[in-house]
Amino acid sequence: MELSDRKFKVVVIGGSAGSFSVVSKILSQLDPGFPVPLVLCLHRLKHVRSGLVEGLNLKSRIPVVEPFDKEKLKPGVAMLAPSNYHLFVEFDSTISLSTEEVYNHSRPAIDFAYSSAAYSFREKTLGIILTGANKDGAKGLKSIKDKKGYTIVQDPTTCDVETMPQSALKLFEPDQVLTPDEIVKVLNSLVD
Amino acid sequence: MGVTLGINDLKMVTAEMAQYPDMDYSGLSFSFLKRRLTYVFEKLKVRKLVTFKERLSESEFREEVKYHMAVKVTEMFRDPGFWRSVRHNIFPALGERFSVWFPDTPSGEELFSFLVLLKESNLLDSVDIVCQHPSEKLCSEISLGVFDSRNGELNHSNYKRLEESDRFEDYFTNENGELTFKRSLLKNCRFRTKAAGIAEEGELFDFIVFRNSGINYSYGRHEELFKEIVEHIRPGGFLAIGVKESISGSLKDYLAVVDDKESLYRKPGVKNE
Repeated sequence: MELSDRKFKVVVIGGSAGSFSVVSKILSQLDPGFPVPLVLCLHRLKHVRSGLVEGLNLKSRIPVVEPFDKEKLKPGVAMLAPSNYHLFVEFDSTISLSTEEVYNHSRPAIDFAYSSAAYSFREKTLGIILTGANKDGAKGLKSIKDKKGYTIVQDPTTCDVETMPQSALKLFEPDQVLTPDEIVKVLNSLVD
Repeated sequence: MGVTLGINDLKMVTAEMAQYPDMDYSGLSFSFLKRRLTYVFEKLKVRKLVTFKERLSESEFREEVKYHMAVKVTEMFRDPGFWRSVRHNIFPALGERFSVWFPDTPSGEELFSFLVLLKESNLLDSVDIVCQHPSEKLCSEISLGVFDSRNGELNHSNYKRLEESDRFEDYFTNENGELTFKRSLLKNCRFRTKAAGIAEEGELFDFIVFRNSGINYSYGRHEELFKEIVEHIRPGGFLAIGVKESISGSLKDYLAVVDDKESLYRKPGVKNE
């Protein structure tokens, strides 16, 4: 079965230290007709509300927005988790935000974004974990795998900080371990 | 092993809770309820649904449930730009005497941020504030004005982003790992133990601060709740919501935007003194 036949309902990318340049690279090489809603959950400074979305939009070939609570996911639009809010993917294809307790020292917590997407869309979820300096995201990505979704871990040898991908690799065997260029190829293969 | 809550469990639990005063949580979104009740079950060491249901008959247990359902605000002056906008855009328009309502006060951070701001604008004697939460224990805790000093640095750095001056340490004493704010800040503040968002009939306020609570509600209840809250804004008064919340439905056209970025709105009309 081709990956494009799986008709993913959401792609969730999580990252922390060093991930801005990787995400920026992915977005700059993504097919403008990318057919799936994209969620970006990146650790960021809680008191800096602006700058990141603008920075990502500079090179991105699809729009990058910071969603409001209860906003609908949109195919071909990347939604970036706002600073100091957790982001959850809901059954009705909306985003919900929350100021609940910090998790893994993080808000947004990548584990929450992954696990809510897995819970809502099960095997129709594609999760990608990138470079980062803590273990956030590993359990959530595993929950995507447990629900028969598709999981990709950035090749640790290409990471600025390999803790986050390594934490995932210690926990389970993902579908693929890829370089950023290979991740772009996989994502673009989802375009018909 | 904790309790795993499915949709039917949540419906059953919220129906049971709603039989008690100020415990109607049925308007909360399912995903939030699932997370929050899981958290509450862990905090109260409840491992079976049936135990939870039985223990709801105990008033002390219900109080603990209401206490832990609250999502506490973890820092003072969260979103410094918001507080700056309140000072510049709201305070000058409030008149000589004004009333403020916090319809859901899950912790003291928002309230004490507001009180410090009022103090620095010489408005502390001009205000009447109502702080509301269904948990008596929580209201009592907030009224003590005690905060964990581990957040002191974050609170201070947020304050510094807001203020040109640096007088933050004038407002509290720092002892034994706790910051205790001056009681005098609370002189025109009263606490009301009542469910979130429900005011007294006919009660009107000049400014309602309801930030980041609405996001926990389902889409339908969110819209209803906001309509109810807006009814309690005096004509020409103001509403603050979270910076990532939006006003939906008919209210979107009804309320004037004061500061789009900081989610501050104004009800049409003129205040009748």
